[in-house]
Amino acid sequence: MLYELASAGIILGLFCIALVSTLIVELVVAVLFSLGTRGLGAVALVNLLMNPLYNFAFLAVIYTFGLGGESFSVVDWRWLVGVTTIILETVVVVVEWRLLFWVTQGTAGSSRRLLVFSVVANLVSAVAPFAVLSLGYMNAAGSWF
Amino acid sequence: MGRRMVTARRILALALATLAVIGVAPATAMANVGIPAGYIVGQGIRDVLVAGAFAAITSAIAIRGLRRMERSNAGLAASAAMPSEGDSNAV
Repeated sequence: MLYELASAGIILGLFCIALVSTLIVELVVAVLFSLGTRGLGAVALVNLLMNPLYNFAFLAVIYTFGLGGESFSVVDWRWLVGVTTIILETVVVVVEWRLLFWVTQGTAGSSRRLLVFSVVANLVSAVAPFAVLSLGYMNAAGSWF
Repeated sequence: MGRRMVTARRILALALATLAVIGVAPATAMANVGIPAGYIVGQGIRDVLVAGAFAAITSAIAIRGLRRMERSNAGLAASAAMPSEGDSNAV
């Protein structure tokens, strides 16, 4: 019972970390795009909606087709992760763009501007963790700092 | 009940139903793959269920906030479009 609770807690913790880190990155990008206070609020709410859904869909796909990692996976593990990421990120970019445009009602910029923001923000939030991890790795390896 | 509220509830119900369908799929796939029930399968189903519950709760909160913000912004946009009393160009 204790193990089950801990396992659920780990998943919830990971989802919270993913949500908070994505919120930080996307809000910083939103500030750089000068979306305004209303725009920032909309970005936060849209991420609150999309990020857990994205991670949930990702988890469901991975458990469905890649159960057990490399040892038991019915398809190639790297191919599965890559294709899933690209498809889900594309869906998220489009949905976030349309939601932001609908919610802000033009108060945070034109549709084109919000599309560019959505693409940039999602690209940065997808790449940022890898950048941080590689910095940490290089630091640990003694090549940096 | 307003039309918007009905639409929002339909969207929420559809989202939750989608979550449920997606949540069932891994369990079925795990059974089909033939991996013995136990550690991996149990953990997989549990993880997906917990993740689904978390996503459903945050989605519900976010949808409420987004709808409220949309109404507020729509009012703002409408009042900005209306000509003011002192506007000499007003028709």
